[in-house]
Amino acid sequence: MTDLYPTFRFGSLELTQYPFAVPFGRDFGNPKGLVTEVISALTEGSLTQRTGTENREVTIPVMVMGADLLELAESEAMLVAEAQKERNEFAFNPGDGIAVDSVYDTYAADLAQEHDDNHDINFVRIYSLTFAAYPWPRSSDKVITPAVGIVAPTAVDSGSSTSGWSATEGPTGTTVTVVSGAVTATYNAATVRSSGYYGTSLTRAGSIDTSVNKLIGIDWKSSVPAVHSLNMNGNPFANEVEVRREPIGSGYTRSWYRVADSVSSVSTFRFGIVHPKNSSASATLSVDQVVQANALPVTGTARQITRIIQPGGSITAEGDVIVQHATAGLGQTIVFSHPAGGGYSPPLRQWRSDGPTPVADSATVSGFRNSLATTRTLFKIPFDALPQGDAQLWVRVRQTTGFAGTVGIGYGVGSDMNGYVPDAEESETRFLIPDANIWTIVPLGRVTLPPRTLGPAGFVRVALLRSTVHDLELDEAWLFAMDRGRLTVVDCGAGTPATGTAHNRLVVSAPSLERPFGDLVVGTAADLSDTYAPQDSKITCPQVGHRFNPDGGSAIFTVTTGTTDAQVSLEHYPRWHTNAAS
Amino acid sequence: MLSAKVGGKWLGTIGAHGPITVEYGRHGSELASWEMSTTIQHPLLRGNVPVEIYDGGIRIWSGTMIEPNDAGEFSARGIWYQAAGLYPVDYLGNLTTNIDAALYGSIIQRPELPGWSQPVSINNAEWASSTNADMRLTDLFDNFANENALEWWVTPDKAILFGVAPTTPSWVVPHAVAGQGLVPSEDEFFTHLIGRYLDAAGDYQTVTVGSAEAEAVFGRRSKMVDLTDLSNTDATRASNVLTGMLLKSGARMGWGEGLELGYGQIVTPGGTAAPLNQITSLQMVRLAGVVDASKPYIFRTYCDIVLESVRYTDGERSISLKPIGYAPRNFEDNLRAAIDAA
Repeated sequence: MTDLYPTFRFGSLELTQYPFAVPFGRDFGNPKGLVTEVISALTEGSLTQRTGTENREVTIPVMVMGADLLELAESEAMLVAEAQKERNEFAFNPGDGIAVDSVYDTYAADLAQEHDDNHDINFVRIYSLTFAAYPWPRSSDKVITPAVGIVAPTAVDSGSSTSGWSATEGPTGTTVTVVSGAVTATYNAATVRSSGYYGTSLTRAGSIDTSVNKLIGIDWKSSVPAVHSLNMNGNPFANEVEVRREPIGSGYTRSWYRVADSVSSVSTFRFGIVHPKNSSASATLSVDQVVQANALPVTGTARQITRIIQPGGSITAEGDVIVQHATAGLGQTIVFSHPAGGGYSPPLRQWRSDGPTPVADSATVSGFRNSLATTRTLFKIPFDALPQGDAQLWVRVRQTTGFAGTVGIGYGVGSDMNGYVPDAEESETRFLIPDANIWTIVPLGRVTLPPRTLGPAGFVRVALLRSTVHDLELDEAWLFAMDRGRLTVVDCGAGTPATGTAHNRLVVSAPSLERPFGDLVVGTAADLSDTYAPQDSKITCPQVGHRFNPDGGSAIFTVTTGTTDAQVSLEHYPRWHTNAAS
Repeated sequence: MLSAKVGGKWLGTIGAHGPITVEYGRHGSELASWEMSTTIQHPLLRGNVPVEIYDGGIRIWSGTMIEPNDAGEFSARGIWYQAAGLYPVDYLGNLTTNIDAALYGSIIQRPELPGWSQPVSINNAEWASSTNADMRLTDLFDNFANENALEWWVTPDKAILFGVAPTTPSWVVPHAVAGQGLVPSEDEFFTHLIGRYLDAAGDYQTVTVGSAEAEAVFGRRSKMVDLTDLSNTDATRASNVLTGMLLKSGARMGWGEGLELGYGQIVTPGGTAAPLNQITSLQMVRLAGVVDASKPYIFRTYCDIVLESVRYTDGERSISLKPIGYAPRNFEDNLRAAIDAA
């Protein structure tokens, strides 16, 4: 029978094997949260915000044993060799044969001997090993999430029959029927429900296999402006995270939800809306269809891909994003990560509401292009589909009359409430178009989201119009939320891969203890052996700390102008509080 | 998240660095600083190397490195300082008081202001009747700006612009408690300006311009202004210059204190918390609920200030703001004011 005991490994030394031993008294410390007070108008108490976590202090008592006092000194030298390393690893296993190693990333350690005259007589010496460590330990193995081929969503429910659907959560008198090919709950929006809220929900009882296809999309429409949510498998306390929202025409919105990796089947789900009291006696909530997919569909063309990743661990982990294509240079590449939620996704063309008529063009990123002249190109995004805080507006544009030089775009990010636009501020940015007729990705400016407090009937309105004489065409516009998002924009070069001109592989490495600022490299070889950091002029936005959020998942949004169907894979170490669970 | 480009190279690829602090002043980018390892050496970390600070992909600050010390502290001064030591010299090499000609000379003709641009004509005429060997390029900017009640600044893209100070707020401090930090000061307070100028014969004359209303309410307080930079001129011109100066600063109190605001204490006019990294100098902030009785016969329950100095460290949840009209009170500010005036 194998002996079961806790093991402590420090660098290359097994501290729980001869000539070492670990007496009782270890202290793994605890991560110290950095908390700041956020000033508010509250008169009682205060708002606090965690801004980070300090290193933890670990203390391990170590006993050194030997046949003679010279051996003790030699063993001490082995300990010192590990302690002096600027970066090291400390792995702990609690020792029941089932739990896994928790690995701490450590800084240089202090070794202190606890002198006692009785020790030498008994051929032992006792030391105290103290070191600072990165606050969160990790799993021993890196988790590699390979790229997935995107398959078109399959319909789970076409909404043409009410079987399995009910509206038991709605107010008294709610009926469920099929109206125009959609399952519709008709309810009185002025009758309060037992929960105290106004609105209704549609519950579907019917098993959906989510062992492989983790994404469920619901095409819905509400006649009253409302907030919506979904919960699954009868859990009334947990609303699922809406990982993306897209308009799909005829007034319907598709909301995507991702089930957790551990959930292999959804037996029932309830999709509901809540709104303030409304006078309509027959308001409706309609679900046109329910679909399922293994990966989120592309936005526009297959040059814009979103991946939702649910990382392991219990703490947000930094990871490496690898974007590659077997045969084609990636072109100008955007990698943007953001915690999933609220249906937020950066591209704006899907929300276009007015302006010069778009022309279909499969060579673009969004699938369309339109002129930025004469009338404003307007985008209307639902009030709750954008995160709050600092954001940047970026566009992909080209000049169409052979001009290369300084051009300008007037832009405004404001609000639209029932057609009324309360915000008057518009700004203008002028930038250099380097080559005529060549598409270029340009940041326009910084904005605050939402532009003002908006109720459920409101929209965020983005307006674009060229401000200088030379005509411009717009391919796509993006609103990147920068408070919690991380943005990398690199020109990898397009065309046949050749080092120095066009690269089909991009690795954005997260900060680590060895490289506190992370890494951004491009290459062409499949084994990534020829990667190198590109010239600074190729990097338009250098952020590299893409973070994966275990609570709700992270959305990784990539744009590769040089090719469709880029492969996006991710690597990370799951991070834990003190004890790794995988 | 702020990043820096030093000499065209992203700072993160040169070495590990701490959070970047940016300061904006009356003329745009003022100071930027960060810390790095004390042992770091790199050919680009030297004085006069161009520095640009980016917020995501957007350039927000421009300047040049100050020769670093050996304590791991690195800083850069704002781009406008490049003009501070220059004489206004036209493309032929002659001293001039024509701003457009001087800028053409220093930007296009000679690379004294590398990377600068002048998007629009500022003033294509001599400002003074003869050149003055003591007047630097930035003094000429100040003189012209004061006369026409304008501000001047250099954008992060190195474009030099003259314009009026904003009259609509970009940001609001919605709670009076937060905005009450401003303490009025009377150092800069005056109701009348008396300008001393040289007439055609080269004799000193004076002219007085002022606000009768301010005098009636607050009592007369005069300030002397030296207009000899104009060289030989007349009473009308001197009057016009004083009128511009009066319009610009107003016959009202200055401020003896700045504001330290936390995230959430300053919001957009629509009510959303302002991202602190977006606040810059020469923006107007409305202090809601702070009574403004500084102008004669006008009583307002809000106070509009134009920011002169903004200081923000990346990642921090607070920001330091000082309004135009700030009168130095502490030692550091007094020292800086004395150096600027010299």
